Amino acid sequence: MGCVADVNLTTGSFVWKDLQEDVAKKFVGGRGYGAKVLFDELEKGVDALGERNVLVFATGPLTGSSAPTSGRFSVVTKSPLTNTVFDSNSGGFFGPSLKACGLDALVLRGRSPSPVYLNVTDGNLEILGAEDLWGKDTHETRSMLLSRHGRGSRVACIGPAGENLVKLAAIMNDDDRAAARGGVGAVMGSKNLKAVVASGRAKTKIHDKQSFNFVVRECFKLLEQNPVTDKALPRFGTAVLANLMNELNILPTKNFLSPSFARVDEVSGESIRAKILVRQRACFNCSIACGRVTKTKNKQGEGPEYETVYALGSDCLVGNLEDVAEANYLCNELGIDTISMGGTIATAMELHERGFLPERIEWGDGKKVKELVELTAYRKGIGNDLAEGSKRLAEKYGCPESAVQVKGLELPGYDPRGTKGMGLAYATSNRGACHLRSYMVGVEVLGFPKRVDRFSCLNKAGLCIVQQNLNAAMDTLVLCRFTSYALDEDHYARLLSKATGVEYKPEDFLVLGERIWNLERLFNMREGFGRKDDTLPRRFLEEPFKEGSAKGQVVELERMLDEYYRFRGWDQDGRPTPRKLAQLGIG
Amino acid sequence: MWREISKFSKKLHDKGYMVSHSGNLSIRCGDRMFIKRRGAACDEIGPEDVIETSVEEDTGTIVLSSSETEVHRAIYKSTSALAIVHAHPPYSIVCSLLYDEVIPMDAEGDYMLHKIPVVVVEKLSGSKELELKVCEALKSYKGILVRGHGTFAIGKLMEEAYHVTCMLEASCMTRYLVDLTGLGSKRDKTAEYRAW
Repeated sequence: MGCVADVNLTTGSFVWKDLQEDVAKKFVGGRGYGAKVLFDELEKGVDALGERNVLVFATGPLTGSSAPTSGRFSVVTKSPLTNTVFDSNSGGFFGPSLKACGLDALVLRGRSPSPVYLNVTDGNLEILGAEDLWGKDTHETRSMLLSRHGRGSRVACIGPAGENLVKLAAIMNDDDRAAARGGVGAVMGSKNLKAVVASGRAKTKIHDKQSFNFVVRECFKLLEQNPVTDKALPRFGTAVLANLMNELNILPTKNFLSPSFARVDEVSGESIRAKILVRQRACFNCSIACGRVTKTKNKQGEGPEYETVYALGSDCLVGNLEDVAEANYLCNELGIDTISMGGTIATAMELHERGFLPERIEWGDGKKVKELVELTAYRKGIGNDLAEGSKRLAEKYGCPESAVQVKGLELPGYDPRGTKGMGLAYATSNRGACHLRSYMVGVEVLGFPKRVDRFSCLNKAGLCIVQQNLNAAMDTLVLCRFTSYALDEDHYARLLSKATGVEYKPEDFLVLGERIWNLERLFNMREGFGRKDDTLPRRFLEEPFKEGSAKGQVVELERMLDEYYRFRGWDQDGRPTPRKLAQLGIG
Repeated sequence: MWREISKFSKKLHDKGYMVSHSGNLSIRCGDRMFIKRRGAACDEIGPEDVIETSVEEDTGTIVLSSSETEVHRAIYKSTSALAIVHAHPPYSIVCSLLYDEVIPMDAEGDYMLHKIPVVVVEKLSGSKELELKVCEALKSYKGILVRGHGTFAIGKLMEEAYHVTCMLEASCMTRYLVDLTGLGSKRDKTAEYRAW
């Protein structure tokens, strides 16, 4: 079994403890372990930015191993943006370094009286002063810490946005990798914790190396034969989707008010490759290498990915690729989630156009977008309102329907009127509108594993549930979602079994995910969430596009939701039944 | 365009040459090509199951199109083909596993095909090696076998590529069944066509 460092930042003390065997078996690691800690330890109504919230950094049993994309780690906490349980995971190289310190998880409590950072090494941990780092951006912070602790160290840190408790703040690692969503960076900032430095060297323990390596080889073989993971993503990055989604009226445009974006060609994956790409970048042990190192006339940085192309591009009607890329670079440096930032700016643009917001924020103004990113990070002027996210912004200015969010989290880049299963996925997601809980675009558009009618509401609940369960289980390992284009629960269960020596069948793996999903649901219900929150913005339910391939379509959510609850073994109000909880061994 | 692809895809499926969702067809029109969508059922091809992409360069449509798109593109760039069928006919696959090349014994086969080369590659789907070796073989032959994988056939029309595929399978079936008897054929062009 593994090891957990439990750190009290208020007192500056910590203990190393063993990971409980039963918890490890039932929740494995990453998101599962974090959800269990939060459910067990957080009282109802705890202020997400208060001393009593807990922030968990968790790796998984495969982290740092030879398994494909095994470089990720999870951050789990109560979100200040959504007030739900929230996990956000990130790639790069920090996860393996943390694991190599002998740690499966870092549980952070309390609030340091002054800025600090953690230095974690093999079997040791120090809490060190960070006054000199406070106020620095994420790149400067990393650079200063590497010069202090050695180039081989890995750094996860917050930027000014996290320090200023911006509810869109990310935790950044290895410069440009992000645990971006839900304001996890603000939680870190609220604890006066600037960074975590990890410099471990221990190898990840694998129970049955020979069998494990065989399964790993099979996984890589499949990833190398899959056109998405072997060709589309490496060549064009995730923005390969931009043109296709635009053609299908799925690329959100003008805060989801327009069916398509006329300037999509300027910001597509093909354009990024042709105009600003310097080189691809891969995370730890990844053959996909979807990362884009890019360069504009003024700057070099990383991105934009598809979600950023949508959020800071089409959603704000910005078609200048350099503006989108530079806004992305700024988000990385200041430590901000690009999706929520773009969604919130687009809301501000709509509010201004409709006369609710006097501040002049015009559609398509790429320079203004960059300026707003800075103002948000430092909570200056209108940035102080943007820092609260789109929901609170739109409520403050008297037009709540302008915020395109679910449970307070801004939507990712898929308009559910063109992919209705995504509507159900957004509405039922435990962390608010998210494309990583269930990616129904995969089955409705990309044809993984086979294509189904994207406009039909029939039989979507079952598919959505199985994806939610599978993805929750994947997040315990913690592997990249892109592996699921080529791999399935059989591969993940085999990897987990060979690594730990505990036998998981594919069905056990799905039950693991279902257990986590239900536990997260229980946490949210304790916080007051229920069926009323499993919904979508009005424009998706009542306002169809008047042109394009998705013309006339709205999401028939209630029908899908009834089916979803029934298939989940929940009651009509979306509460897991005692029978279901007993079946999963929780509650 | 999709109707043409749909028609021949269904014919190949019904003959058992394309199994369920596997196999792919494409047609070239100038600088554009139309290819079956990845994972689409071979007997139910609709308009949305045919993906248009460039012959010259890779584009983002690769997320939807057949996993053999690059092989098709390479064939169009290196031959005069205007249509391609990649199928998995059973006797063709059996012969690709037994022989290094197949010399047809049937009259139509030896008249039209002369010889059927067998291409051997390490990675069977969508690899550069497959691309190179298949293209090289199709410069000299209208139909070839890839060991353990299936057939590639080209033509000026989809109907022609379909016809070549059927001939490949018929010749392979004849060769296999004759060899199975162990009696030897009274009409064997092996010596004549080995040098083709």
